[in-house]
Amino acid sequence: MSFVRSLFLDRIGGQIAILILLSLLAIHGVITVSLYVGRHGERFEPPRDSPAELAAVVKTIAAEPEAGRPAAIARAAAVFPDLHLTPAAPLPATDLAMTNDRRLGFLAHRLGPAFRLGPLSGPDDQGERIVVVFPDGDAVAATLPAMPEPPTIAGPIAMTALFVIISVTLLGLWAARSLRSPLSAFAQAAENFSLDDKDATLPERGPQEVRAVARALNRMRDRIRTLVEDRTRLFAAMSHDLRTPITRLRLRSEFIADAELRGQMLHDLDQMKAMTESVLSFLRDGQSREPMEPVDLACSLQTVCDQFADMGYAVSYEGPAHLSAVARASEMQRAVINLVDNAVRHGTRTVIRLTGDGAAVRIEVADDGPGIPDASKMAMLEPFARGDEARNLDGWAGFGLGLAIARAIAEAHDGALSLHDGAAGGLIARITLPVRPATAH
Amino acid sequence: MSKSPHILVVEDDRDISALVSRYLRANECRVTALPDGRDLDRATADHRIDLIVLDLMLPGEDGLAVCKRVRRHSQVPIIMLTARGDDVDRILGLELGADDYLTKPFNPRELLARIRAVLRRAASGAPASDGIVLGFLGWRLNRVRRELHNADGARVVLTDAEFSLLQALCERPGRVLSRDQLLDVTQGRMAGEFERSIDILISRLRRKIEADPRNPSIIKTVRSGGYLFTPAVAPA
Repeated sequence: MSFVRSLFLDRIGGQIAILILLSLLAIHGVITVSLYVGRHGERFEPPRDSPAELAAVVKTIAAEPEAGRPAAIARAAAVFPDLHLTPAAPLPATDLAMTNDRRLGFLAHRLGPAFRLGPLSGPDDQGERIVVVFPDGDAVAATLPAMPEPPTIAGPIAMTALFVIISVTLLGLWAARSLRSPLSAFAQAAENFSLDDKDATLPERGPQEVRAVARALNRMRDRIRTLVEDRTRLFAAMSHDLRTPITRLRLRSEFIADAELRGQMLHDLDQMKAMTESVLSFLRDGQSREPMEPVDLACSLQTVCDQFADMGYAVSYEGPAHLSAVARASEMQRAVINLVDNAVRHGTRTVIRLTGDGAAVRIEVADDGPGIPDASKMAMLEPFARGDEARNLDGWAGFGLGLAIARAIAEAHDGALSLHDGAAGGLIARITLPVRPATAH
Repeated sequence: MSKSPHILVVEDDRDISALVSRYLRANECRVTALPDGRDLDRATADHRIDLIVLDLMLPGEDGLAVCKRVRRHSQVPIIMLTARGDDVDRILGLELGADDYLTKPFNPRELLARIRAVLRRAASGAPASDGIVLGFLGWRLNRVRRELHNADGARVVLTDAEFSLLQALCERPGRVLSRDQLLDVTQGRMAGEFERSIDILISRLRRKIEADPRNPSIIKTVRSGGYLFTPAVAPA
């Protein structure tokens, strides 16, 4: 059984073959059952051949001597009540041999040319009332019973076809679903493919082919993760270890007599320091060991404002004097500092706005700089993204990690960072944070 | 402070150690340098050490263990050198009894200023013995973690200078402190380009902790005297 299973049931091809086989069996079964039911159903009693019957009866009556005919008619009427046989006055008979009525034609043919037929009334529900004139001129009236509904051959066929269509459709849907569900689960998992989440392995379910792909992708993911982790470690180690030579240089530069040269060196060293710190901060994101706790965000933002104002930038705060939200205080401050750092590089005036309602807290950093075209907004949030004008490393452009770090921090808070156009030009960077119950932690 | 203080520098990087020593010597300190914590006990026994500058990343016994060991028998002030981002190490170090910390790469002038501030604090009789957390009007000031929480339990972020100023006020409630006195306490934290006048720092502090910053009730201005911290302060 396991051999059969591994040979057929496990593969998409085998499953499709089994599916077709099952559908055929189902069709066959449905047809068989419907015919069996139809043969025994009362509606399908073999049709009586009324014209032949009538012809035989009329001939029998005609064979009687004229005196015995009324009695014969009565007997025949008792045996075949639905023919409604009654004696009739001879009529000027019409030759019905040429009639278009197939049954009358058949009757005339059975009776032979000696008998003539005449209509008595038009056809109705009961049948057609006719007069048969015997060769000797006597006549009998009879009803040729209405043709029973033609045996409903179409009925069972239509039903069977319907059954077949429905069952095959259902089977097909079921089959498609059962084939598709591992594939779509697979696609979903591949969509959510993340190197960070150790649990997000692709499910190894479904047909063998899907399982094989899932296994291969999971292995590939492990390899990519190992690679990324190695790179990350290397990157972190480099940035980390650079601090020692930077510290040495920083100390050495204190002994440079030339004040201008010393100032330039210190500037370069500060830049190097900022860059290594931004790398380490970026690599650390999401793994902060700082606790989530209620933080007076208004005070944090005012502190950021003060720090930038002390450095000579026009940064102002608009918002409530106090507003508490659950966050990681230093991380959130880092995020806002990065946004303001970006704003003061591109604009001359920066406004930090804080608004909050029951559902979300919004921190906006608005500048009056040139802004960023819509097409580039998303790209600017990616690591190592830099506006073209800042591509040279003069000033404080750094590695272009500032916005990426701010975004990672916002996302680690279950929030988001988005870039928008200011009403009067410039760029608005907005951090939206969900409001958590202040009792958390 | 009158004579040159004796600083023990424990740093495994020979260049950094030599450069720090040279810088401190150039600024009227006596310096003994050690590459790790092994000979630290003998050094503290042989010399009268005024302050230890301790690198947290040491080969063998790490800086935290060294810090803990020193604190078992000595109250000699310790300034830790840490790598930025090692917040947990920093807090652990402070909780283990270090007096201050500096992150690498650091500005040597900042180091000197911190050394002087810590020595001054040590000379004026350590006020840190009466509890790590000080409380006033529901506010809690954690002197080790350097964190301030308001009456609702929300963290209120202060700059280093603001925190030092508030801590100085908290540790001397009900006393009028002159601007010079306050400047003295906070100087170590304010060396460098962020130096602000005490008045600006006070106004920023008021904005964060006063219900009505324009009509302050916690930090009062004493005409021609300085500032007065009015609430009662108790260890919390």
